[in-house]
Amino acid sequence: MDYKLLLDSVVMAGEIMLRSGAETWRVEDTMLRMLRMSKLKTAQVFAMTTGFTVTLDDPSMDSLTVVRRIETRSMNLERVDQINQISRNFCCGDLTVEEMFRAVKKIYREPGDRKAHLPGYMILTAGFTLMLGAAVSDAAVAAIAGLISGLGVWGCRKVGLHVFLVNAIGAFLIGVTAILCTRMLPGNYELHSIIIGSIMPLVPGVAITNAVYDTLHGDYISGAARMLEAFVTAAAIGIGVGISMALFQLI
Amino acid sequence: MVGIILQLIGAFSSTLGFCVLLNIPRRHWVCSALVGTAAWGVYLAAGSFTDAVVTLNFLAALTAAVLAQVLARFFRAPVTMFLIPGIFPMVPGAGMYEIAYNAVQGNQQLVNYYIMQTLQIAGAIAVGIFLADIVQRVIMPKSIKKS
Repeated sequence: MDYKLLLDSVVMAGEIMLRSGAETWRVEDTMLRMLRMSKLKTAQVFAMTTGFTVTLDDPSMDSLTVVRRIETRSMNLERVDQINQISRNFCCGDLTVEEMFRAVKKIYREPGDRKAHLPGYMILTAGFTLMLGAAVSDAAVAAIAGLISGLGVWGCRKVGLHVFLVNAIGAFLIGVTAILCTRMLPGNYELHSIIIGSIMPLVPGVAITNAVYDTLHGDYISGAARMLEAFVTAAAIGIGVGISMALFQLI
Repeated sequence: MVGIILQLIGAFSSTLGFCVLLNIPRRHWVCSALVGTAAWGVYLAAGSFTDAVVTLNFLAALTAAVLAQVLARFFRAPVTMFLIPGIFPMVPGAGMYEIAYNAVQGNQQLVNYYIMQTLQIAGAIAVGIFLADIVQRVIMPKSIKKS
């Protein structure tokens, strides 16, 4: 078996998984399973949310070690699923190292998610507002706010702004749209429910839950890192909505 | 009754929207959304017996986690595919927002209140997931290694 090729593909797989927002224990587990196929004496993986290091060693050869830094993370469960499938097939013996390398490389080369997912934003925000017990008219306003924030976030990401700014701008747009719609359109609206429903795509609810879960699982470093990340995201959203509210109080 | 049905429709569509944003493969969309709807249904049903937020979230998360485990086994997909959308209706996103928003506004008491509440809810959901995970490991230890 070509150990260098195996290590290369495992490293690529790990990078894809961490970038797609997979949990660190899952990344470690998948990489370790693939490395164990080499039947070498030592195979070790240490993954964190911001990077990982892998070592492959045996008395018969020089040890191989790779370190990778992960800069950006965004949720993409489809990629996690694809890598999962490849690693399963490889560990069953259905794929050779070369085939596995090509399959992983293909996913690695694919560009990241560039779609705006605007319908997703609209259904999500309208649905969540309904779920909170608000009226259908509130849900309609939330859908508009979701659409506009979705557009804003997509635009900001295309420009390549920092994540903190992207979230703050998205939240600001939601605040402005919600206040304008509730003031201009006829009828009674519940501003609070609309705003809570509309910020759901941005807000780190899943992140904080995963952070607590990681901590329970014994992954203290990634638990703490995710928790901090969640609070920073929340701060960006709080600032964005806060600015929009303050703006309308001034006018 | 109409209100409850509207809320369930809301839960279904918001979970569906979340599936789109997470890039979940299209073939799993409806199932994932149904997991979220079922969890929210349990939340609402249990809500008529108790007002304790932690208990409600725990029960709903447990429902979502068990359903996700079963579906994951059935479709041979990672559990996360159904679990993350499944817990979405309960997840304390609003709490995180309230913490930050009140901190910006300077309402220190509300900040403390929401920090505690958010961590309690997140903890309850995490324990629910954890419990389903452990039970699953105890019940079917061998099938994991083979698959």
